[in-house]
Amino acid sequence: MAFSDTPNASRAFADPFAFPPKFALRVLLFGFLPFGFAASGFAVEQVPTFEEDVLPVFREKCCSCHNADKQSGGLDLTSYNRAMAGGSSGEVIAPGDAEGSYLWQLASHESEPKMPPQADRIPDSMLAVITKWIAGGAIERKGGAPVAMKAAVSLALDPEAVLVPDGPPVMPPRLSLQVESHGRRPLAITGLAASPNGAVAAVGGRGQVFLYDTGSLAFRGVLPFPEGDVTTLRFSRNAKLLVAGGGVGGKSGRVVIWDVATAKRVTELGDEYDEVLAADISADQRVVALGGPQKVVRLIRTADGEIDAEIKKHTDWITAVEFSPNGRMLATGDRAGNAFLWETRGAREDAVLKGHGGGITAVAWRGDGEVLATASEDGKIRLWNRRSGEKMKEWQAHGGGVQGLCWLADGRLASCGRDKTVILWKGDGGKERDFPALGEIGLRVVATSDRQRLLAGDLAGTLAVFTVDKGELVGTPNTNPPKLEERLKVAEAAFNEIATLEKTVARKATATAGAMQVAESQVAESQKAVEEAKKALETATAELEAVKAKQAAAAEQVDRWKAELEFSTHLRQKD
Amino acid sequence: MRDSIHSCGAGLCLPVLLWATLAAGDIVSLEVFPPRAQLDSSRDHQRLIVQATHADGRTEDVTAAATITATNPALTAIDRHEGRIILRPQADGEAAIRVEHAGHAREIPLKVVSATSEPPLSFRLDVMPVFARAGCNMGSCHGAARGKDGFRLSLFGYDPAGDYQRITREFPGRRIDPGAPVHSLLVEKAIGGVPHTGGKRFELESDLADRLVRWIGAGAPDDPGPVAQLVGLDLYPPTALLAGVGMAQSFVAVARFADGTDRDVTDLCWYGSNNDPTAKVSPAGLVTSGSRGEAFIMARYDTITVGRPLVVVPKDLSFTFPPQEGPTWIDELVNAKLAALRIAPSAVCDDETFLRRVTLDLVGLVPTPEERAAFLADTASDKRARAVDDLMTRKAFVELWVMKWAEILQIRSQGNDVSPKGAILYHQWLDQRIAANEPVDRMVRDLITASGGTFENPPSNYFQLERDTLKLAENVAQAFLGMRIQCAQCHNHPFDRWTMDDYYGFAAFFKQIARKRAADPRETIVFDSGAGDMKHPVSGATVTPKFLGGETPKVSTNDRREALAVWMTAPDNPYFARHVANIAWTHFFGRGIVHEPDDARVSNPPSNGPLLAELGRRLASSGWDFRGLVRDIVTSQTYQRSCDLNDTNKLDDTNFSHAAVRRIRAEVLLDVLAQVTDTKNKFPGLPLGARAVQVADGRTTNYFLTTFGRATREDVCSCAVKMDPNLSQALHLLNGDAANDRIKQGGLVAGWIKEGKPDAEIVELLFVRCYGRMPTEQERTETVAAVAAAGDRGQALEDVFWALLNSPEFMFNH
Repeated sequence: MAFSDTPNASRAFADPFAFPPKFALRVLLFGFLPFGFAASGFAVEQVPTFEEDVLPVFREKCCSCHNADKQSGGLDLTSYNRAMAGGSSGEVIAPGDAEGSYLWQLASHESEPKMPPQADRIPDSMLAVITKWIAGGAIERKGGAPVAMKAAVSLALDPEAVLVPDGPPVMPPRLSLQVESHGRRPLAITGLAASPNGAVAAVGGRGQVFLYDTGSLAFRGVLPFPEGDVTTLRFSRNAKLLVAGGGVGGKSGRVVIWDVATAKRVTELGDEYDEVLAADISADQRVVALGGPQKVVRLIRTADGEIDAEIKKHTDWITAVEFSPNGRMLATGDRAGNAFLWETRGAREDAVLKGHGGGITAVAWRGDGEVLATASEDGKIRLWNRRSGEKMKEWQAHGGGVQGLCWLADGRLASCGRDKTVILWKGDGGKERDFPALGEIGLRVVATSDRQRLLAGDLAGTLAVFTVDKGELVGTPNTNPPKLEERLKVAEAAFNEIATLEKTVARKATATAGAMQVAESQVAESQKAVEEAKKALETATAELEAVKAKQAAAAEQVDRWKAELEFSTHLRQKD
Repeated sequence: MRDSIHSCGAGLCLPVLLWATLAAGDIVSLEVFPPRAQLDSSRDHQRLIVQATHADGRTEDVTAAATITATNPALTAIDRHEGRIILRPQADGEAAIRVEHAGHAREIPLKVVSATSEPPLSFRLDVMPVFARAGCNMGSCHGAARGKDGFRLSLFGYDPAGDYQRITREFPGRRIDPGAPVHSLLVEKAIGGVPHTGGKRFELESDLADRLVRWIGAGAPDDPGPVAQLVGLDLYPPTALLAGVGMAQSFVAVARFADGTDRDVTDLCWYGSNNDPTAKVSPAGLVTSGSRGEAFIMARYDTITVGRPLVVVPKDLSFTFPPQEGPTWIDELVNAKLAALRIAPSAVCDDETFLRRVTLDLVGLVPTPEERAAFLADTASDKRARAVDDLMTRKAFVELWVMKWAEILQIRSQGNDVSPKGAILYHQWLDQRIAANEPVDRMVRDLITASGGTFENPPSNYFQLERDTLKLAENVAQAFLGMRIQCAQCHNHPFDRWTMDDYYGFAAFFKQIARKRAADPRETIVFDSGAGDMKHPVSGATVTPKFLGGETPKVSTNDRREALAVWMTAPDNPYFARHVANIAWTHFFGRGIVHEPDDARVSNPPSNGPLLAELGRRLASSGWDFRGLVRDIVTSQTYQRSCDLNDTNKLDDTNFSHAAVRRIRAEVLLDVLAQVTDTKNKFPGLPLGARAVQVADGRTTNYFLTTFGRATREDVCSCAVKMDPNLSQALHLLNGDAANDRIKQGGLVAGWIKEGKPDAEIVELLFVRCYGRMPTEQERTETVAAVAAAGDRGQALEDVFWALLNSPEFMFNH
């Protein structure tokens, strides 16, 4: 078909059988003058209507399958009412929200199955017609009124509704600084968590969890995890427990829970046959949810380690799980782009979060539990209404894919992704701030409990700490700390070096002392000479001043007589 | 089948090897492979093999026994591990490597450069081969379209950039760990350190694992720029003749790159044999001989597959090639191959067998009793050649080849694209060309470049029968060049040389074909629009037209097909003439020199390369005289061989050492049935009594033809013509209307009875009609006795007729 190759009018006319000329003309208008001659400045932008503008597009591109007879997918686009009624998957047009309309998502090839099937995307000019028509309220015909748009969703956050841990900050005791292993490079940071009530952050490593002070960025110590690599980390909502998931890829997976205040292991849960990729603990600390390449989300009771429920609806690796702040709901996501909401009790399905064009990489609940955010490999962040399960907002966040996502307690979001950037978003998706770029793909981002700092981890294992308000890089704590023996060796070497230096310096000092004595005797002699010279100088100075006085008197005389001479010359000239 | 035994005449011709003075065990020459060694980094190495040739022609791998020295020992360390010779670099310079064995010596040059520098590992050159060698990117494993167990690699490595992304970045943090490379999942899975659906692929202490570990440890870097392109793969030794079971021959593979470097890739190739019972090849490239026969040993590295022939003969075989009388050039080439295989061909068949065979093959009929009598009565020595000439002047000869070409051109009506009128015009066009013995190249050139209305210029129907650009390109490659390039649409062809670049480069020749309606709604006008570019599906780049395995021609608007047609039909085109010759050959032998005839590829080599090359050369240099080619084939002794087997050729079915017993194809069988029963066929659009081979439209349906495997011409594949016998064919002949009704309808038996012929004569007439020969004495007496014993004489004789029609001797050409 000529049109799908080169969407310009001359090609279209070259092949009279390609499509009816009447239509070609219309496209010509849209193609050259985007909408209602706005460019020429004499008309208000005209919103396209179904009968006049959209139906010809549908007829050209869609109606050979979506007609009254065939109704592929239960959808008939040949009339306004039928188009608005939608197909077997439900409504396909959401007036006012083009990007949220299923029809638009498929026609724009943002989602599968792409439409038209096995063909190029419809020309941009045609897509623009559909986009503007939906955005303009899906008007039926000229003079018609826009369809009542869906009630605008409120993204406002009630600060009172945010559950904040009470009590004093929970901090770990003094810990061993001895690392379990030290690799050639740090592990890619997929496990990263910041305490919701305390200045401590945890970073996953090979066979261990590293703890850092989020204020001083000091290394606070190690929690051993002999089960394998730590791939996911989470503090409990009350900040008292630290939950780590991980294992050995392709072989075994486990979740381990520590009491933060004592740094003691509380329990070990799960017996997976591949590493745990995502885990979280409910607010009441009754169950832990975990998942990984086995495609099953397991809810495991912390009390006895028995399975409370299993979720087998996912079709690919489980990549994200998070309980709602009150623990009653669970959000899960997988690598194929499926995301669901579940009731924690009994793991009953609550909602299917449709529309992701790529794997889910993170799910995160806003502090009040009213809004869920999902991050996807399709590059977008989406916000979902907890009560209706409907999408409230979506925006392009990171080219190539979003990897990490977190809420700040005040309702703002931070994210990082394959474009190596870290971005702070307003609660409605407006961009607030960029942070200095990471060196590699950004994998995780978390905010400290005081909302002052963001921590971002990347593929190369670098942990970057930024200030939230200024967007400045505070530091990059070492995420591959050496063994203590190694540190001791380094310290000793430094000590020895300084000891050697001390000797040299001491020798030099002795030699200098001798030289000083010599110098001091020389100083005494010199002082005498100075005294004499001083006197001589005084005499000479007095002499000089006497001479100067005489000189001044003489000069006075010279000036006087010069003036007299000038005056007399002046008088003579006058005459 | 009673062949007369031709006595050995004076015209001894065949190269009979004589070993008068040498004992069979003596070594007469020594070869070292590869013929030169180059080492160009501290990591480089080169394996050598030493092959001795004995006086009786057999070869022996003497690598382990040979002594080896370097003229400058400082340059290289010679590793003699486990019977192998491996050169490793020590210092830069040039020297000679001297190999000695059993009194023979051979030297090859050695060049060492950059002996002490170790270049960083390249993902494409050093790491990608690991996945191919270990089978990770096979279609059944991670090479599947959706990958395996969540991890995908491109099939046989067609997309290194994508593979790099998937390994290092698709699932960040999981597959590789540069900080602890040995514990990377990629390594742990491959060495069986953790459970792996594909099992353990290699050891941790292997070169393959070492490559992965070192590359990951270096931070898994991508190649900073384009890497040296692979330009060739050399596989040594070029050939081998092993005597006895259990003999070993190791192979060495050297990859050559565009920057002049080479690499010993013996340990990185995939190896295969097309004949495991004769020669099994181990993953290390070590061949072990088995039963007598010929095998083709293949090695694949990256996009290139190469093969080498290898022959196994029994140990201590005493063989003398039987003397031949008056062989033609075809016979000499066939016999040379047979002599090398130690196979004696069957004798030439008798006159009756020859006449029936050649009549069936040339005109699609059986000889009439009169023709047979005249031929037998002729005593001239050139009577077979004259019979051939006579048959080739008949209209039926043209019709038979029109049918063959109509299959190749897929002539048929098809919905709204090709009307029945179009199909008939197309068929008429072909008929005129064949009847005029127009040179094949001109016919194909006119077809490939055909433009205009499908009625006005009928060959343009070719572009209506297949309107999809890619399928059209595939069809042209298969029908006219004998190559199936379909695989390369989605991935580089694993068993051939074709890459996706080749595929889309070839398809680009057809990208600008456009079509529009003509005044007559049944007609379409095919033309070149001069616009539209082929896009590469992986890179998205525009692909310019490129000949298969050839250059990228300069094409301007509207002449892409012209350039292609000129290239295709040029006398020096390596594929076209051979393919056309092979089509003819296949018709007469039931098996191509390349078999299937439209499946030429590296891993499916011709059974007799010199023969195919010479057939092609002669066809092209004769001005594309197809009839001359046919004449040469059917007048050769090779064509006239008997079906009777001897001890040496009983296992051979690829080298034409005896005639093959072939089921007669559907159209001819129906015509022959009509001929011997004296009945008439009726086909839609053709007059009563027309022959099945004359049917123009492939869509014409007929129960008999369909049952016996007539091609519908919807598929370009030569395999669309089904020649295998099956149960429904037998049942149709036994119980259907094909035999019984025709016997009644033709009324031959009744007529003879009315004429008062005796049983014995009628039985003879039936045998001559159906089999082209007289009954044997036993057949005659037993049949006459059976007829006499039956109650109804007419019924009994018709039953004899029916029995003959249902016998294999009737249904097969032999």
